[in-house]
Amino acid sequence: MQDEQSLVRRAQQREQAALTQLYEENFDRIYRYIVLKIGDRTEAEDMTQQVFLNALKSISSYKWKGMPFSAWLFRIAHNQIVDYYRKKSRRPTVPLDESMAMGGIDPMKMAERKVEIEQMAQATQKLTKAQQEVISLRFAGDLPIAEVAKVMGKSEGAIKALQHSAIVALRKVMLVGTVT
Amino acid sequence: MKKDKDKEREFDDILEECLGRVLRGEPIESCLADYPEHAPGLGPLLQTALDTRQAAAIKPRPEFRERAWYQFQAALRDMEPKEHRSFFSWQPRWVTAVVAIFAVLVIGSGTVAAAGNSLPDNPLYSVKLATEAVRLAFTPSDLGKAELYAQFADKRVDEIIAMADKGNNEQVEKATERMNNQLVAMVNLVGPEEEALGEWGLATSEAEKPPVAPQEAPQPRAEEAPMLTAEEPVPVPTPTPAPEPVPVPAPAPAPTPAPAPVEKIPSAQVEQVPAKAGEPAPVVAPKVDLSSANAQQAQVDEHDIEYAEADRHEKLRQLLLRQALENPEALREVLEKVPESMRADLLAAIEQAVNSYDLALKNLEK
Repeated sequence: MQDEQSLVRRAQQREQAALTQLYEENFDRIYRYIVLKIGDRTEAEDMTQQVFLNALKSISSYKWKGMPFSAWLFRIAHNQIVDYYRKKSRRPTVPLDESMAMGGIDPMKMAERKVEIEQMAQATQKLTKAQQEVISLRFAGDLPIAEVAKVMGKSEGAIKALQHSAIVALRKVMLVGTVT
Repeated sequence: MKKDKDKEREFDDILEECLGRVLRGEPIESCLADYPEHAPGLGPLLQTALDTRQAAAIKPRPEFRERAWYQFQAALRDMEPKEHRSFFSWQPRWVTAVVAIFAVLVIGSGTVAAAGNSLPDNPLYSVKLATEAVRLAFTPSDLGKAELYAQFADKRVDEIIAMADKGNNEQVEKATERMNNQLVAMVNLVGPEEEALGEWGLATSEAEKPPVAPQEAPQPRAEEAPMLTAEEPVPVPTPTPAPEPVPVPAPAPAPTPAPAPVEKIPSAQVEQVPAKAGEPAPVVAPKVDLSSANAQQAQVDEHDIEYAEADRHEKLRQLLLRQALENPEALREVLEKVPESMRADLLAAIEQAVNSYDLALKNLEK
């Protein structure tokens, strides 16, 4: 943690090596987190890029409070996703693929354990916002439970309970396709 | 009941432990072997978690990775290198404000404009707040002050949104607190003051009250309203036919263009100006006899002031109506962007904003 703090301090002084390290360490997981949240890889590419440009612009105002730096990046990403859905809600939407609209995942694919991220994204849409967040941060963002708790501003115990309910709910959604 | 809770908690802990192991590559079976009593419930959940992880284990396309990296580097190059700490970064905030205000006075309005758009995480922000304080100090009327507080609250809402977008929760809290204080101040200023409110619900001093009957109009005290009366207090002479008091519906905008029409022109010079075709007839000052010119001028000036006050009243009402619709809604959108721990405060601020606007509008209607 001490190392990360000094890394962030150097990045705040615009030290190229430090900024590059923070970028490399977080780029893939921020991208995965966004894809799982929105289910659109092309949009996710633009948004990921924007997360890092916004972070670069605001890094001088970042204050170290014992939170991992990634928590701040995930919060920026989360806010961009909120904006994305707000803008999207003002535009006419394309109907979901029929099998997904029913809430299930292709049984064949489920049996082969080859679920695409877009399908998984559609399935997570059926969960509550908090459940979606915990699934995305934990399994796409690769954050340990303690960091998920910090990003979401909840206790670790609360996040463990939320994780449990989220996995149960996700399993139910995924099974709908296999049962019907 | 407590036992159930404990059991749930225990299962949550076991699930988390097994998830950690499975995500690190351990087979599901080995974890289930450690917790055989939980295996029937645990197994399917671990499998679902593993499926989710596998589905999410995607890599960005190499072309995208390259493009993003190039843009990141370009943005980095565009940024000014921060080799030296700026003057503003090591000075106390008040020094920053004083120096900046001095610089504003010397350099001109450019810095004010720059500070006006600054956000709470910008060094010029303290200049923005200081400029607001100066504007308040130089605004004599309560209505004017209330209008300023409402405008500042608008800015605070923008700042809350911008800071939430940047993930700067500390500044979200501060901006929220400032907004609350400014709304409270605004409501207090438009609150009912029975002793000061006249028929128009506007006047805050005797000098600003519209004359009810010209004969009984009290002579304004010079120190009370030095800027609001005519060149000198003019007692209304009884024989002069007083102009009809212009009926003005309280909240409606004044029908006569207020800014420039009444210049002190000697009545002898006033001529009828024919209206040009296609244009509205110009406002023509009535011909008056010289003996009553000053008195009438004083009356006209007072009416102008009243019109301006009515205008300001309506302007404030319109501003608050818009804010009451837009600001709570904008703040509700911010709710989704801030961590759980901040939501209660923000919700309270939204509630306060709704109540403040409601109360202020009710008071303005009175």
